[in-house]
Amino acid sequence: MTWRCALVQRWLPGYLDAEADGIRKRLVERHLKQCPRCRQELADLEATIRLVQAHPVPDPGPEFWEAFQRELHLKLAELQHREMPAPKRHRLPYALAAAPLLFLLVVGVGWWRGYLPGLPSREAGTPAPPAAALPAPVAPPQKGEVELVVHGGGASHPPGPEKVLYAGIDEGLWDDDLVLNWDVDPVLADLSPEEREALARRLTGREP
Amino acid sequence: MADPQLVTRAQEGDVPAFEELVKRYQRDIYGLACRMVGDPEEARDVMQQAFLQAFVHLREFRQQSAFRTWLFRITLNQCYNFLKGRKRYGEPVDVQDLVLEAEDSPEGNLVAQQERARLYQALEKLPAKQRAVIALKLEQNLSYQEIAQVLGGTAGAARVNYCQALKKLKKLLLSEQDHDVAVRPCPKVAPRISRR
Repeated sequence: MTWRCALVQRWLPGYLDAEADGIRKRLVERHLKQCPRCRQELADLEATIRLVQAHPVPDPGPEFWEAFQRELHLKLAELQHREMPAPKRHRLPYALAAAPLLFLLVVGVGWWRGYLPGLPSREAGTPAPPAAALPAPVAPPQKGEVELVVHGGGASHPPGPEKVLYAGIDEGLWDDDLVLNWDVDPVLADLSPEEREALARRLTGREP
Repeated sequence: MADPQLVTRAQEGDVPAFEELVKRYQRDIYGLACRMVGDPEEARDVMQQAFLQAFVHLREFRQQSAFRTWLFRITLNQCYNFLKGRKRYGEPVDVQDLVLEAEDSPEGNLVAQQERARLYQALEKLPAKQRAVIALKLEQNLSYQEIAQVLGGTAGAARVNYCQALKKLKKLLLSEQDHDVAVRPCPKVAPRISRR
């Protein structure tokens, strides 16, 4: 075998494949005309290709394909069921919202139970009524004013709850801290003016 | 419906669209698997595994190549895995199953059976990659570019691989022919002997 035969035999599969370019194809054809050995090689390669193409893989038949598709369908359904992604639960927003809510809950419970004395009291925290609905602000009573009110005010100007409190402070019955913690408004709210006056008198010790 | 539309629908979770693709290419895949593993039952399992793998990884397919070549690549990977396992556990190759199955065809005659047996024996002796390139080129009619997409590498490398495979197959066929003249193999006994 000459070097030319070796070269041409390397090109023979491509030559059979009809993908060889023009120059190479012409070289192969020219060589084949004068080389019986390469012609035999070409014939063998052609026979090999023909043999492979003449014996394809036999088709197993429609029953085979039906059974295969049925089985594959079941496996695909199972796979899809298994591969179905779980619904994504975005837990971060819930966590972010839960933290301040929990904090507010703890503070609220502490404030309600009185464990947090530094915070404003429950009554102080209630929203103030509109300014128009409130009576005119009462100036802090001076010393002796209660006496004046109680004794000189008469039934036409009954003492309000503030005056009763200040009267008690003036008389030394309670101090400021006690007053702040004393829930007097609900008690006085239901009293008539006469009852309030009687209470004030009793508190100031002037009731006979 | 064209392949890309079916693939897109299948990627969105449409199982019937995927099954339509399966129907379209099952014969090609089966043919390739049969050529590679040489046993119809094993080829069926390999084909099923290949389609299941394709379904699982369908979302990773970016349609940069044809769906068919992508399927071929998956099938070949499954075949390589199967062959690796068979080599490890030393199971014998019994290409006679394929030959016997083909004998049921009405056109089968004695000469054709002998030729087929000779071809299958020769193909079985080819390295797996050369067998793959022969099957892809001569049976699936892929271009070198498509073969390169399936097997990896360049189109030039695929061409060289094909040339070498064809020459080797020719040599094996000739040697099988000589062997056939000398000894007539017994298909039922040969696998048992090789197992021992």
